[in-house]
Amino acid sequence: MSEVLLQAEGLVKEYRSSRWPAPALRTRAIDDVSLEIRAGETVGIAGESGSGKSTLIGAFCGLVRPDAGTVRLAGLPLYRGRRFQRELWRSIQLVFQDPYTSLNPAMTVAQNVAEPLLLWHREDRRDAESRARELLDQVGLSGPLVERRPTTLSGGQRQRVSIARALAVDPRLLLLDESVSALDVSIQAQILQLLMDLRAERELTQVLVSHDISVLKLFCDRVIVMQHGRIVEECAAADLEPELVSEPYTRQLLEAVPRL
Amino acid sequence: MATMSKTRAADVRVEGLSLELDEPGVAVGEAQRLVRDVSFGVAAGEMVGLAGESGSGKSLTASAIAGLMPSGVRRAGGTILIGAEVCPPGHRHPDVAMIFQNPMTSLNPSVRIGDQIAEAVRLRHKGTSRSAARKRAVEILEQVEVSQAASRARQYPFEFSGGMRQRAMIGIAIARDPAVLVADEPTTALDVTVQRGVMDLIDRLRTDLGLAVLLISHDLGVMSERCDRLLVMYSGELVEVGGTRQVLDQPAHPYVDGLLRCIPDRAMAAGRLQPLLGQVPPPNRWISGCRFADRCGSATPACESAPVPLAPLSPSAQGREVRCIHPLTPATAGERSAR
Amino acid sequence: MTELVTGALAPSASKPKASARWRVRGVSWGARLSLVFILASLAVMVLVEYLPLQDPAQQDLVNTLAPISGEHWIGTDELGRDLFSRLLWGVHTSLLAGLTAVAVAVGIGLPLGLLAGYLGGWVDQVLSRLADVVLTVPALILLLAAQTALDTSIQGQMAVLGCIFAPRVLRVIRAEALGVSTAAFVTAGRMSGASHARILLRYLLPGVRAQVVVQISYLLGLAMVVEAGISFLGIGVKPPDSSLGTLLIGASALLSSHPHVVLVPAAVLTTLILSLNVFGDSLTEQRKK
Repeated sequence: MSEVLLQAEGLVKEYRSSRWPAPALRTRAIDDVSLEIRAGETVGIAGESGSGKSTLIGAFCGLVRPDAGTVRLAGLPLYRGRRFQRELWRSIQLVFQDPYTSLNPAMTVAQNVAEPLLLWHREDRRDAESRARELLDQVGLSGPLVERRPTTLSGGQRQRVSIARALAVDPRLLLLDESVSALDVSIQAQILQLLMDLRAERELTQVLVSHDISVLKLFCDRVIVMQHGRIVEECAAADLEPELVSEPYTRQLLEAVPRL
Repeated sequence: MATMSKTRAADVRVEGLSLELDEPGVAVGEAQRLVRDVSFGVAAGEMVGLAGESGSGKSLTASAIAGLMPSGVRRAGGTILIGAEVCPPGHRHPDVAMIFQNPMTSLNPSVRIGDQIAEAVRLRHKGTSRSAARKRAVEILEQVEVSQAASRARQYPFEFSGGMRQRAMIGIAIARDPAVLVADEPTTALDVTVQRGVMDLIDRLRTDLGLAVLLISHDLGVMSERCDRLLVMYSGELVEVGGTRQVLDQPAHPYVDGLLRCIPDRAMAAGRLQPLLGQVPPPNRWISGCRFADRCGSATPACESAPVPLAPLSPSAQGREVRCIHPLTPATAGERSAR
Repeated sequence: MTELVTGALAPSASKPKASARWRVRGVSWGARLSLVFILASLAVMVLVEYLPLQDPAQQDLVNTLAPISGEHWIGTDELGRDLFSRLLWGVHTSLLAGLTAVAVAVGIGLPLGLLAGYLGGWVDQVLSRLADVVLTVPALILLLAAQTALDTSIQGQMAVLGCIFAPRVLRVIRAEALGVSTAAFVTAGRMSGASHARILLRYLLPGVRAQVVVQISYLLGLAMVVEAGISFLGIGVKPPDSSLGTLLIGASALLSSHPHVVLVPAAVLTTLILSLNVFGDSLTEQRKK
């Protein structure tokens, strides 16, 4: 079995909402979550809204500072004290949900993708941009489009740009936070196919957060089901069938999915 | 439960509906088309699904029926009939109610839920007293399965969960005593478990009240479970019409076939994902011929040269229509998936 | 890879075609005329020294209050000075004064507003409360106090006015920056290794640029009104220099006997301020679309 790439232990994140003069309301978005992700694996995180799945993926990339617990990437802690180790963004990248807000509208498509090369790899502008064009070509974008601003692109095209940008630093872990949920079915299929091809080409570990069980079943090796900030089920994606799962909540969730 | 007796069952007929951009100075019928020549009907007590990806014109068609067309869009032609009554453009027919994807933007955040339903009751039944309307509002909340309806009626929208808000919106819709319910992606923003409950409710109201329901969605899974018939739109046109099971099990239009292959459940069954290539063309690139031709595996020059009519698939296939000159048959479909 | 997507595509038909054609079509004639007038005034401001104009301070006591003629295009004032020349120099002085105030206001308000909106937390608290304090003091009183204490030229007074305007710029830019900085692309920029400085300059600044132009156009109009006001009170531009404000004082007594002496500079001032506001409004409208 391959090495453990990401290891989370006892992660807790609590949000406080002030209800002054009443005492503040504390909600545990993630509550004592531990899990291991092995190199080369594709893991899905399922759950309904408020289950803590996006908070968890945020804790894996420095966007959500956990209140307790540790996360390590190949043995290196992500957080020292309360500080996220920014250098780890060379190895961990995230693709966001909304393709319409995740690209800088003041830069061209190629400049957006060149940004991490320019800043993390300290390449000069010309090298970075020509490398960016290669990356864009790999995700299926080429021609005059790459010199345009992202505002002229469709949602699917923008998501391809986001993927190219995330891959620019050649990360080991690619986090996908509902990255295909806002797309139409046919575009979603194109992006899923792209991500699966990339997985085969590079030794890329992918973690996909989604509310769509059928996408996770198709895309992932292993799926984690969350409810109220806790992991309630962990199984192979192929075993996500109402008859096979052990947890009543998971069964309820699977049975609610409309069948075609 | 005190359900008001329902007498006015009516069906919807849409004939040759065309919508276009409302460009000032451009004659009606000459501006950029957004929806072209859409005809279909929904009978009382029937649920019909209108499917399509974004940009297909499905939501515009739905808003046109409800008389809630967005600004910047106008009717270029066609008629909408509610029962026997012709609905002129922009007219909100009192028998048609519409619910939307995001209930929070349709509910007034600073008015109690019960009062919002009561207001809808009083708008429909002029002369209803305030107290009678309030009582009716509580009944309606019970009807849409909100527990503890009397105390819930006094709450504000922010105190309701997403699913509850959608139920409240449905309550406001049925307070109009509609004959027709247009549901535009009613469960898209909801979790699957909540979605099932809301869809069950819409289904039950359809049978109890004899509503004609037009369900607009991108989710073919939801439609396959709920709809009697399915209409599929692509680039502003209906491309395939038929019984839900027939369309989903033996699609005749290559687009519908391709779309189904993109759905993860189907892809799992087939053992691989076969994405439809390319993208939906924007309205300013629409051609008069088949708009799917550039993405289609079986396209020939004839496809693009002339408009393709929506024609019956075969003389025997009841209500099965397709806009394609090379429709897939069970034999060719098998060939395609083997390819 | 699976395929090439090279087509030029609008996102979808539900957000139909926000193409350049539409944007230009949406601009009103008023806004276009305003822009022309603003540009013409700016040209006058820059070029007035090089124009073959009569000396605006040259008195001609024989020819006082001369009517409109070939020699004096809009006549002369009560000291026989050429009004056309004084009017153009007045536009020069007034606009320069207004621009000074706006430059100071944007120079202070823009960077601080960006910082407050992006960093949030205590930085935002401190800067926003400071802005509130300055905003509570009436501008005219502050100006008069500063003039008493410093006794500066019109440029100095306008710099003080700029400081008074700065909190307004700060507030607007802060709100704008706050909105932009929650967008995913800013987070993505951080993940791409961008420093806070780079985020401010390359991610947030372009996003607030349009709002800055709107603020400049509003504040320029306001600054020119204030300049005219304080010059009218006798503490702004001092004779023999002319500004649109001093032209009005000199002539205020002549309104009934020689109306053109008052009405022409008043009309120019009004049109310029109106243009700045119409232009600012049209930009705001554009942004809403």
